[in-house]
Amino acid sequence: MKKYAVWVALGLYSLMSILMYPHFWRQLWSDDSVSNAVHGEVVAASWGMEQLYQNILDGKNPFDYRLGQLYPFGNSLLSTDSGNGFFFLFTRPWLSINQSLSLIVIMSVIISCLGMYLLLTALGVRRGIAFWLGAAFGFTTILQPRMGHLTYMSIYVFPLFFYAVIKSKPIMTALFLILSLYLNLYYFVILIMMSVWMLIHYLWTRRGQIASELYQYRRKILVFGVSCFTLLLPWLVVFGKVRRFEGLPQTEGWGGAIDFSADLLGIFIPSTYSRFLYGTAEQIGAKLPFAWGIFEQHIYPGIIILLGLLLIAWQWKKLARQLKLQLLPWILGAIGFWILTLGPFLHILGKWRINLDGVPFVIPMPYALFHYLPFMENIRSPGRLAIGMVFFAYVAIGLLIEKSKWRYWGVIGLLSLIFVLDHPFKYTPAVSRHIPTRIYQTIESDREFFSIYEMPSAVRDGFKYFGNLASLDFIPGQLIHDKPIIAGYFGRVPDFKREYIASNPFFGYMGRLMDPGVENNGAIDRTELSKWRSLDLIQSQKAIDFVGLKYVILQNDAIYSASAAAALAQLDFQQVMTENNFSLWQRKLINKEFINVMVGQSGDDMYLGVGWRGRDNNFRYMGKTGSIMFRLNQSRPMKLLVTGAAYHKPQRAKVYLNQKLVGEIDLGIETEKHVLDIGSVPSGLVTVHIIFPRAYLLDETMLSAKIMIVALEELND
Amino acid sequence: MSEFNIESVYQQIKSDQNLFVFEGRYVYPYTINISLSDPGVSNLVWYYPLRTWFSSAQTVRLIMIVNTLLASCLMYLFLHKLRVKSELAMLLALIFAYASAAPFRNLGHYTYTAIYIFPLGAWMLYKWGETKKKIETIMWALLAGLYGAFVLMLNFYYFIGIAVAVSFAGIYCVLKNQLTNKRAGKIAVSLLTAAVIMMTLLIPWIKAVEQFVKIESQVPVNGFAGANELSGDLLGILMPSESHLWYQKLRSIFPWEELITQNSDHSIYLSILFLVGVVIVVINFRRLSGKIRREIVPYGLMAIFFGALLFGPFLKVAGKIAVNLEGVSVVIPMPFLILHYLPGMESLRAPTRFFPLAVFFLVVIIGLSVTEWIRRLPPDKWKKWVIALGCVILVEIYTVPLSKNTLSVPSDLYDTIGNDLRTGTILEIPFVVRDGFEYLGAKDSISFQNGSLRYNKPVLGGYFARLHPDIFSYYRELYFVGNVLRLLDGKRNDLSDLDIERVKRELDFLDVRYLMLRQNESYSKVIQTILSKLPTKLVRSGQDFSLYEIDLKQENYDIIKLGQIDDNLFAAQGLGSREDGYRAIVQAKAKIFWKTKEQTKSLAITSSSETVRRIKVYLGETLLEEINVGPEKKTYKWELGSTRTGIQIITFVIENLRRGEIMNNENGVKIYEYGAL
Repeated sequence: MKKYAVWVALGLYSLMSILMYPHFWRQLWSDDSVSNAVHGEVVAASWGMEQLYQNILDGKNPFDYRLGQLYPFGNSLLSTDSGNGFFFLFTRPWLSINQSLSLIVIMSVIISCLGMYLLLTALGVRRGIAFWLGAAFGFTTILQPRMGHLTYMSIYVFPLFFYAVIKSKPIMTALFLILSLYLNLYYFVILIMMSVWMLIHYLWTRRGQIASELYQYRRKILVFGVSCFTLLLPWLVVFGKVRRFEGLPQTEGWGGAIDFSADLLGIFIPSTYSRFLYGTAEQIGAKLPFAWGIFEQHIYPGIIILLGLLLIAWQWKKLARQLKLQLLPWILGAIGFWILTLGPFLHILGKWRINLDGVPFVIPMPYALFHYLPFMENIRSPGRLAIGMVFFAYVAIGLLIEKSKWRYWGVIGLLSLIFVLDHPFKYTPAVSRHIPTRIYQTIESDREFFSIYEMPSAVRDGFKYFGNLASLDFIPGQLIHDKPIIAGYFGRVPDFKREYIASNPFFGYMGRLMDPGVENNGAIDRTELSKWRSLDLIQSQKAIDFVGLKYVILQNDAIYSASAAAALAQLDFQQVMTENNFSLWQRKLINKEFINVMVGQSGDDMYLGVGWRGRDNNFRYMGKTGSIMFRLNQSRPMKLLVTGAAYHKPQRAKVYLNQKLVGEIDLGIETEKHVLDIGSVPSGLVTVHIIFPRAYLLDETMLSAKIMIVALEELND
Repeated sequence: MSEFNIESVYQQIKSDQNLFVFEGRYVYPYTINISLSDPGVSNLVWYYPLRTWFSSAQTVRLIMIVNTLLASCLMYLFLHKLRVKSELAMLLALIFAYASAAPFRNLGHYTYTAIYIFPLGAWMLYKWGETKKKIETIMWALLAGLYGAFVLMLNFYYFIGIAVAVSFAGIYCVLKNQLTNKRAGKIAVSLLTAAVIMMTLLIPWIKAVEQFVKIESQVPVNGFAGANELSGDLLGILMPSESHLWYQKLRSIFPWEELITQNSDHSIYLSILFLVGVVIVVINFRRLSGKIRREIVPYGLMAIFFGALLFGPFLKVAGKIAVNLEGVSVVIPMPFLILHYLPGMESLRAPTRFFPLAVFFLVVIIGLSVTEWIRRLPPDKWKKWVIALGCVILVEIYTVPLSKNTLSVPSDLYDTIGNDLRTGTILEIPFVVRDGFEYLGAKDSISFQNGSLRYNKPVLGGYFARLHPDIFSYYRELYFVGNVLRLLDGKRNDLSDLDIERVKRELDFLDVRYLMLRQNESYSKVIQTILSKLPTKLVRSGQDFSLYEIDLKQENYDIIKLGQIDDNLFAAQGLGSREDGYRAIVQAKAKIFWKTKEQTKSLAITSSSETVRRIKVYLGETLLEEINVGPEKKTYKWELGSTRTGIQIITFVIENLRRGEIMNNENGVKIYEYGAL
């Protein structure tokens, strides 16, 4: 029996997953994506995974840029939590994207249960107890409301990472650490925090033998380091690229962390998605408005943890010293993560700030310090750190039960009863929605290179949007036609990409037209809305030609449809096809070149990418990095002309063509014309990046140069 | 200011008037009730006898000397009682007496120099606690009652501080199980006796408070009443105040000198050497014997508590109480915040006034711990150290009063006014209407109030700790006086546009008989131009001032109609803006001025109210009647018997009026006319 225990556990967990996750199992023979009955968030996540898979198939870096969304810039897969795309290599040859993801979710849950089981048994916990605690962890209550965020199902990285550490398997340790980065950025941060905490504890308890232990484990440490570096290498390459050409995402202020913080009492509030406790959750929500429909703030860890921690606190004085020492790092870790979930300022009954005679009073929490650590400002949803608390707490409870004198079968009975009461959840399947599949297939069959615009669609991330906020159906459409679309939905969209679309004469007009909440959209300048009431036909034509827009898919029964159709007709688009309430509009691609950008003059926005400040008197300032786009009909050798001056001090700028270094130009502080031979320029849309080594501060803005003209010229001119 | 307060009270006693109520004396024609404004009348114990021989200024300075001497002696006695080595006790007593009250002494806040009450109270508490005999217990209870009443009438801050300290001592004893039930019962009886004695002694004050509550409106306190600005800075414990003699030369060595305002008003600097001593005690606390540690702990907790109080409601570091975390202002709350939210404590606005109390506890801690250490040393060795260190500390804590601009006082002109036995009000220019929060006119021109003490006549303007906002409004609205205040404040340059007839009418209503004008100031000529148009004559010219007498017309104000031009002369408090034919009462308590002649035997008021309201009507302090005012316009009349002449105050108190119930003039209680109708 001992020999097969793991297999028995695996079998039982698999059976439990059938009972708990029938919807996902069902996808294997009845694919809901056929009828587009998949949650928008799930499609958005699976899009990234598919792109990662496609990158591998294309022989590219898995995390490299894809042009499918946010054309003409595209987007890297650096921080899109698309790591499950690696597993698509094994599933996609046989299954659809939705089926692949469903299978991965099921596997993730089973492996999570099994991982915790293995970890607990490795820590000396008996198998029966480890089994139920493993199940409680794998089917954790924390994830009950998160069934639309399937990248959060990969919680197996926590137990398996620690299991690998305990078993001294450096490659496996590195694998789970780096895998957590690829699967879910939050989980990577959590795992790093866990590791640092446990390392501190380990070093503290062995403070006399650190040097000897380091020496003893030197080989394993080296293997771990090399493995981490090797596994991380592709990601690091893209990281470097993004850092150089786009800049890393920067969150303004708390980035919503205050709103997404858990309440002090949130730990006691079950989810309305709980199969049996939803009534309690609804009653609490009815009485306490802050608790109604909590999602990001949901941190209910389950009855097992609440009872277990209560028991530990109650019995603490009576516990043996040895057990206390053993429990301490896990308990403190759990408490630490719980405190972090409370966010930067303590929320009590939904309130986080009170007014004391004119002085706003808040209770700052450790998260406020955490926020100021490098990159951590992007961890904007403190509630998502709750899984760290759950993991630590289950280990602590396992150790406590193991060392207690409670009756073994009694404990198992109790655990199983609580599990049945507390852990099952209600899954709300997505409603089937019509998407114009035939239209997408028609576009897919067009072999030209062009871009597509869909109405409704949006450029959207977790903070800001432009266009129609609620529409995400352009994503499954893109997966069908596989052509670049001028829309996108990611966790973070760099501001310049959204602003490019919003300031574009055509897409800016259409985006505002289809946004029912445009008057309240904080991401755009609402004082200029009147300027956008009419379409600038000449500039729009230019914009369309520049991005090579060939097709527009328009929903016919929306409030904006008539206006949009009229605008399309004025721009020589013709309706070529209809499918239910959608129509396809087509325009012939015009082979026009755009190789001369008069920076600072009206209409320059459509050529400028990252790093440009507002339009000035026939020039614009740029920051350290600036990008300009051109369009060529045919590939040929060209030279780059730049008229401008360095700001404050002369500088030598590096020039990149389509992210490849082609030369350097020296800018003095006097305006001059600079010429650089950049060799053969490919046809289509090309991007030139000018990157300066330094920028200088002026009125809270970092500036490197002021630029008047950037142009491409024939080499022999 | 302090001098003026005590002298005013002294004169009230001499003229057999209520100690706490200044009727039409300052801020004429208002009545100022100082019962809840820290009246400090206990100082009369010293002031009354000394004033017989000395001037008010000399007496106040003598009191400060007495207070300091008493503080050092009583502190020494108390430390001696705690078995602190005599030489050390002497040094610590000097530090306590001279350093902890230095900020107040240098500013002339003499009521805050009475810090001897702390060692005195602590000593009494010890003696009381040690007493076994019943008769002695009763005696100590009597003394405690007397002490409590004395302290309350000496200084509200110190009373609160002592009350908190005594409460803490009680709680500490209970928690430490140092009290048996029987003993706790006895203490409760003693405390009750002391409380009864205290209340008995305070009956005159309680009556004044009762009168205040009855007809006066509490001055509203906004926010923390300036406590954040007046609180101590964390860096201030290392930053000498501008009064520290050697600091003048060494100020550049303090890197945070530019960051914090460390003026004497809210200095919390004691002595760096002394603080080093405290740190040494804290670090070596475990090396002390268990007995001393147990003895020190309650003092230490009190020192921490009162030390923390100094920093005000929110910890202030380098002049800032908040840090901005991504747009969210984060403050660190301090114990003062709790104090602020206790009933009646919202007007505590100067946290650093608890400084002497914090020092008192620190001194005791140092005394007890250092005594224990020096007992382990040979006598010759420690004595030299203590003396040397003591000398250095005494030099370090040496402070001097800040040099003030001296202004000549027109005593001869005051005497001229004093010799005129006729009634009348005095308008001395420059003057101010000012309290701790707000001012109108020349901010620092407060010496005019002292003139009133000399010539014993009412003055326009005044400076008190708290003045009702409606007093400011009244003065602001006055046609002539309001504009003069703006002129003094630099908000006007010229008064040539004033209608002289309205000026005359105003001065006449306010009974202004004399006007004193400082010469050679920017405003002097402007005022002189106005005066040239008024029925005035130059009585006398002094070195800096000229005295003008105004020929009062003494118009008849028997019947006053509101809702007409210049009716603001009569709208004292709690009334809304002028409406056509009436003004409406819009607050729970409202006041109007009525000027009577001797023959006036009755008072009638015509009033109405949309909602029937029950209103108490007072003339001065006397309740005339409780009337129901309804929608019908009705005249209510009272026979008065004899009335005194001059301006009197009619007060209306609306019963059971909820806050915000009267939103505008329309649903207020309308007053159309009043007087001898």
